Amino acid sequence: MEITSSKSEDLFLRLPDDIIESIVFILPIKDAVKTSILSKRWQLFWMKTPVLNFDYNLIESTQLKGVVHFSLGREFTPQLDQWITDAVNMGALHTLDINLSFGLHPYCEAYYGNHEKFYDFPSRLLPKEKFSTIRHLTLKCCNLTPSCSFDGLVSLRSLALDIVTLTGSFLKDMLSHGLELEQLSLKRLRMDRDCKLNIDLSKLKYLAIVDCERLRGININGAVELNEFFFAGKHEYCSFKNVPKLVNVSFNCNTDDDYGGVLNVLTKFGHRLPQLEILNLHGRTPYIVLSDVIPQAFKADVVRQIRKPTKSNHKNLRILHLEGFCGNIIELELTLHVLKRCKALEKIVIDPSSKFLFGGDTWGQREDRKPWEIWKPMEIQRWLSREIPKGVQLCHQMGIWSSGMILALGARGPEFDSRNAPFI
Amino acid sequence: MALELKSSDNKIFEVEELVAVQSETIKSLVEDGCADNVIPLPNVDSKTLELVLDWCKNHVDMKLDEEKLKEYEDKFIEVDQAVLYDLLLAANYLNIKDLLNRACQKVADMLKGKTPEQIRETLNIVNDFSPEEEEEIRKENLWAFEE
Repeated sequence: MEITSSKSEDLFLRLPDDIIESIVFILPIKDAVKTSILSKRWQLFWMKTPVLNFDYNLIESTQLKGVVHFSLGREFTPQLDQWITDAVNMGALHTLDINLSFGLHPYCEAYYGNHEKFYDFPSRLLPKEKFSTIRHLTLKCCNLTPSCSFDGLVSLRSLALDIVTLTGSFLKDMLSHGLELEQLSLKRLRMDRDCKLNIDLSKLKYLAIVDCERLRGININGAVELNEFFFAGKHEYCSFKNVPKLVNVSFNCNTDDDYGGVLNVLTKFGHRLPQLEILNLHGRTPYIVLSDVIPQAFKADVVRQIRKPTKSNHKNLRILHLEGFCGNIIELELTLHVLKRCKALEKIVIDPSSKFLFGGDTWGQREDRKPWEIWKPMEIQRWLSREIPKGVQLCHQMGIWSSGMILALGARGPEFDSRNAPFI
Repeated sequence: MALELKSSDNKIFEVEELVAVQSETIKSLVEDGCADNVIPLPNVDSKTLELVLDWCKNHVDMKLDEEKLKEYEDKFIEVDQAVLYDLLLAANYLNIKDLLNRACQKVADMLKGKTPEQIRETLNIVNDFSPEEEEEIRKENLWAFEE
C-alpha cells in the first residue's frame, strides 16, 4: 500500500462537478461513456457533453451497427442527418437502431412526447442500395413523413417502431415491401386517421402491437409462420385467419369493458385459435372490481354466459396466465370454466399483482397496495381449494411483483386430493 | 501597475496588472475598482500561486510565439497528480481559461484508453455501485465497454 495515497485519496472528490465535466467532455466518446461506470457521482457526467464526436473507430466492421441513442429532436436535424449518412456510408450496414427517447421517463414518453419536436427520419438518406443490406431497423421517437420511402426495405428481418408518427398508407406500404420480415413490433404509433391493417407476411414469427389506438382493424390473415402475438389494446379489433402456428398469445386489456374482453378471449377465441397453447391475459382495472361492488344482475348475467355450453373450447391450451386477478366471483367462475373445458391445460398462473404496462415494454407497479390485495389472495386460495376439480394442484408462488398462485394440473387422477397439495 | 496578491498561507506576491488580469476573477476585481489593496486569495496556496503566476507571465511574454508557448505549456503541465489537482482548482477559482483547459486535457490524456478499473486506480475513485447496478450500466452501452 502506497503511503502517498493518503493525500491522493480524496483528490478527485475535491474537484467540483463542472471541472470533472470539462475533463469528460474532452475525452473521445468511448472513453467518456466508460466514465459512467466509475462511481455514482460519475454516472451522468458524460451525458451533458455539448458536442459529440462520432468516432468511427468504435465500430467493428464485421457486423456494422448504426447506433444513435440520445434525446434529440428536430433542432438537431443536421447532426442527426450527418450521423445517419455516415453510418450508412460505412457500407454493409446491418442494424440501424435510432432511439431518440433517451432520458424521457416511460410515463412521459407517450403522453408528453411532443411530436412536433421530433426528428423527421430522412429516408432520402437511405438510398435503395444502402437500405437493402439492413436487416434490423428500430426507430423510436421520430416522425416518418409521407415523403419517406422505404422501397429498399427488402432484406429487413425485424422492424420495431415505437412512438413514431406515420400515416396509415405509409405503414401499409412499408409492410408490403417487408416480405422477409420475421419480427414486427408496432408500439404507440401516432397516426393521422383510423386505419385497418392486414398482416399477411408469410415469414413473420413474432408480432407485437401495443397501444396503437388508430389501428381499428388488425386482420392477421395468412401469416403462416406466426408463432407469438403480443397485444395491448381493444381485442375486438383483432381477427385471425390461417395462422396455424400461432400458439402463444398475450392480451393486455386496457379497455373499460374488460370483462367482456376477457370473456371473449376465453370463450370465443377458442374456435378462432384452436391451436392456442399459451395464453397470457393481463387485465387492468376490472380485476380490481370486488364482488360486492358488481351489481347482482350483471354478475348473474356474466356467470350465465360463462357457464353456457360452447363448442369453442381451447382444446390445446396448456398454459393460462391470469394477471391482475383479484378474486371476484366472475374471475373465479372463469377459472372454473377454463379448468373444466380446457382438457389440455397443464398450468394456470393466477397473479394478483398490480403491475401494468406503461407502453412499449415497460412494466410498472402500482405503488399503493389496497388492503384487499393482501387478504384477497388468501380468500381466493381457500375458495379454489374447495372448488377446483380433482387432479389440480394448487401451488403458491412468490413472484417479483407479489405472490401469485399456480394451479398446476397434474395427472387428473382420483387419488390426488388437492386439499393436501403442498404450498411451494 | 503592480498588484499585490496574498495566498492562503499569507505570502504576498507582487505582479504586473497585465499578468494578473489573465485571471478573469482578478480582472473583474480590477475593473470594479477593488484592487487597490492586497487581494486575498484564500483558496490558493503560495506554491500553486507561484506556478499560476509563472504561467500567466509566460503567456504575456510569449503571446506572439505560438511554438515557444506550446513548448512551455507542455513542460509546465508535467507535474504530479497532487500539483495537477491544485492547478485545476486554482485555475477554476481564478478563472484562467487556458490553464484550466490545459490541465483538463492533461487529466483526460491520463484517462484515455484505460479501462474503468484502471481509471479508478489512477484517480482513487471508490466504486459505490452494486454488481447488479454495474451490469445494468454496462448493458446500456455495451459498445463502449467492449475492447
